[in-house]
Amino acid sequence: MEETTEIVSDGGDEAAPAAVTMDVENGLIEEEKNMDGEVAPALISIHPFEKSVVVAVGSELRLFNLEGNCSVSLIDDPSGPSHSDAIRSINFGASGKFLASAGDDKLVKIWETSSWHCIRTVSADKRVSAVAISHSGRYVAFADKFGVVWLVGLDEDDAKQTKVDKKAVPILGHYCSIITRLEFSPDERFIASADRDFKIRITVFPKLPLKGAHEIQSFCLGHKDFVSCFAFACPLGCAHGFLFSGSGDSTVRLWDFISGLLLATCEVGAMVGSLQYNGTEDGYPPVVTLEDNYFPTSMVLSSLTQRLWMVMGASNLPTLSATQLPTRIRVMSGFHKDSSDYNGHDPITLEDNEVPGGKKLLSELQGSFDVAMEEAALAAAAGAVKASMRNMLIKKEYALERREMRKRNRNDRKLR
Amino acid sequence: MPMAATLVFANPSDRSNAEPARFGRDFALFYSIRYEPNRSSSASKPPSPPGRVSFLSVPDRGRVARGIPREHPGNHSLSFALTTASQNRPRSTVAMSSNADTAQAKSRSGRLPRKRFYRARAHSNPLSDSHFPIPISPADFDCSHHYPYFFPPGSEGRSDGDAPPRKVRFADIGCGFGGLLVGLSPLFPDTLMLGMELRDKVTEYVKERILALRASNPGHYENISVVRTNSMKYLPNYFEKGQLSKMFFLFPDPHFKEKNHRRRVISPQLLDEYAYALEVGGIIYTITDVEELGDWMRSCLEDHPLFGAVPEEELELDPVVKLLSSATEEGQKVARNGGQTFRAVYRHIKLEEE
Repeated sequence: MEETTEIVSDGGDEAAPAAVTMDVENGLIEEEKNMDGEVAPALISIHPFEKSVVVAVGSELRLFNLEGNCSVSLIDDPSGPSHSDAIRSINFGASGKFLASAGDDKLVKIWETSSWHCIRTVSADKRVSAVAISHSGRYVAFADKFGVVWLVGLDEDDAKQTKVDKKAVPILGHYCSIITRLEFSPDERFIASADRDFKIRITVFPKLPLKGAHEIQSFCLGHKDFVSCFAFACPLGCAHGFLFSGSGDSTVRLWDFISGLLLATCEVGAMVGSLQYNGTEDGYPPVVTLEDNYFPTSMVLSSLTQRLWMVMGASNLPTLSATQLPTRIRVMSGFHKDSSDYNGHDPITLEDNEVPGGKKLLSELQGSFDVAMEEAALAAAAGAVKASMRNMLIKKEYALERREMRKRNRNDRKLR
Repeated sequence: MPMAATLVFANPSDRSNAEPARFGRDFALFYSIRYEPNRSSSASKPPSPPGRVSFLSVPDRGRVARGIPREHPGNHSLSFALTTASQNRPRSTVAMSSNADTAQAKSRSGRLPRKRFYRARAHSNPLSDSHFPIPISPADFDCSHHYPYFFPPGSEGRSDGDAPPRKVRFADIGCGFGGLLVGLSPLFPDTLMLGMELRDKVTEYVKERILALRASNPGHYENISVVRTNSMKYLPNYFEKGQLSKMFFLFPDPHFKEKNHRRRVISPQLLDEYAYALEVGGIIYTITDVEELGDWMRSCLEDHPLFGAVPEEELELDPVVKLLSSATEEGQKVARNGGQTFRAVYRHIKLEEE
């Protein structure tokens, strides 16, 4: 059972299976909370060469330049609107030339990472749930809550000659299902999309993708609940790569994405119990324990320095004003690319003063340095994110009485 | 399956002390109730004593004897069907098994189910969250359950020697009452065909119909079956890549309003999935009596790079094409009313590299 170690080491850019972690935490306890509004998780993303870290809380993007050890302010597109609602997805491409951010305000913004100017603002028809930048940096793809994936060309000459049609084009669609994540394969031959209907679709990314991506390579089917995240893994020496996915069914699965074959399943939910008793037994990946009350809402691995960056926080909390949205960042180090250079040290969580960028980074990205004290607020945030994400992704099952009521009040019944 | 029976509530003057319905859930599920105040004046029936509930063609009287229909305003006949639509809620197991038994017994006797007991709304929302069981992947789809003749017990999916297990080759999406399946079955006796229908009651009907046909024609109709599913969402859960050789979309819901176009079963995005399920060379058949929808389906297929039109000469020779308008219940209705049909038949082609 090496999945978990590999997912961290090879995935490169691995988002937290936040929902998985949360499902594990609460097991079967059904929470029937009626949230006032939707709460978005705080997100974190890191430059592929660890030049900068970005955290999104609500509609705010917080940026820290790790190279220069200073905070950076973004320069927004003066002609276009700014983010005004929760950001749902942020992504550096593999090249690190651009950062894309998108969310509930139906805007996709593309930032140039050397000057931090917004080079493009694309307005979408629906709320955007996922965004990805192709590895060559030529295309930005984003998915909306209706299951349609749109594509924007970023090519210089492309942009020049087609300044007019700045609009995105739909290239593929999951049938009216929320797309939870979108990613290009490392060789850019495929684009993968996951949805809340348990599907992961691998589509051939054509040479002229603006005409649509119609050829489906495979479907990775096996998850029994929404797919919350996935990552490509291409170990050296393998002809083609693999795909890892995490889901609300508390499993992490390994796929041969070319054929859609399920290669391995790791029952994270079932393992949690056994690990507590057996400690670090052979055959299990090393388990790292965080503080009891720290539930990351998003995480990302920097493949360069093998540090795992995590953030915990939420936007739009009904009880709190926008200025005091709590966020907490933790960094873990000591992940290894493969088992050969495994030096016997398990990954460790860094103390606040050991975090690269130190106090300056934390106070910039967390809003204040001393958030560690606001545990109650953080716990509330994590709870709200969990409830909101569940509401959004699980299938709605109405009580029998409610269905009967709806049926009785239906106004399309024919009267004779 | 005794899905519905008609209950006549006979006396208008008695409405004052009529109580709200207190049926058991089983009852409410399987019997539709009709309130007919003027029924007692009809000559064909002896007048019922005031306030009595009489049963017309109730197969199992004892179980429903205590029901009193609910009060309804107005003097005219009202029918309210408690049986409509979703039966995917938890049901008492007793009701399930007893009904299944009756159904089994009936279809084994080879009597065709009667359509009037399986009335359902003409439309069903393809966007709603579905709660019926869906195979996790095509490997999870149990062919031996659907086609026991081709998968005798013990053969473990292998029909003859080392040949690969037989797979479903034709899919009728939105099969309705199953007319096409029944028409196709004798034409391709060795080809497995699957009908897919979203409406639960209609699926039940087709199931009964197939069982009855199998019982009365031993050795025939063993190659057709039906599943209740939302094919717009779950097609890849049933079929592997390139598994199908024919797909049928006959008289689909037109969804006229523009905001409902995304509910249409033929759309540029869904065609990607159909192309995935079809082998190269596999054919997609569409037909409708709504001109607007016919144009829509044709243009979707025409604009899709993975589909090419099948030439007219070939259609002339294809025995399936004649069935499109003649075999289905919907098609017969159109023919009866002298309506026009609009057909589009396309073939899955390989993508041309530019």
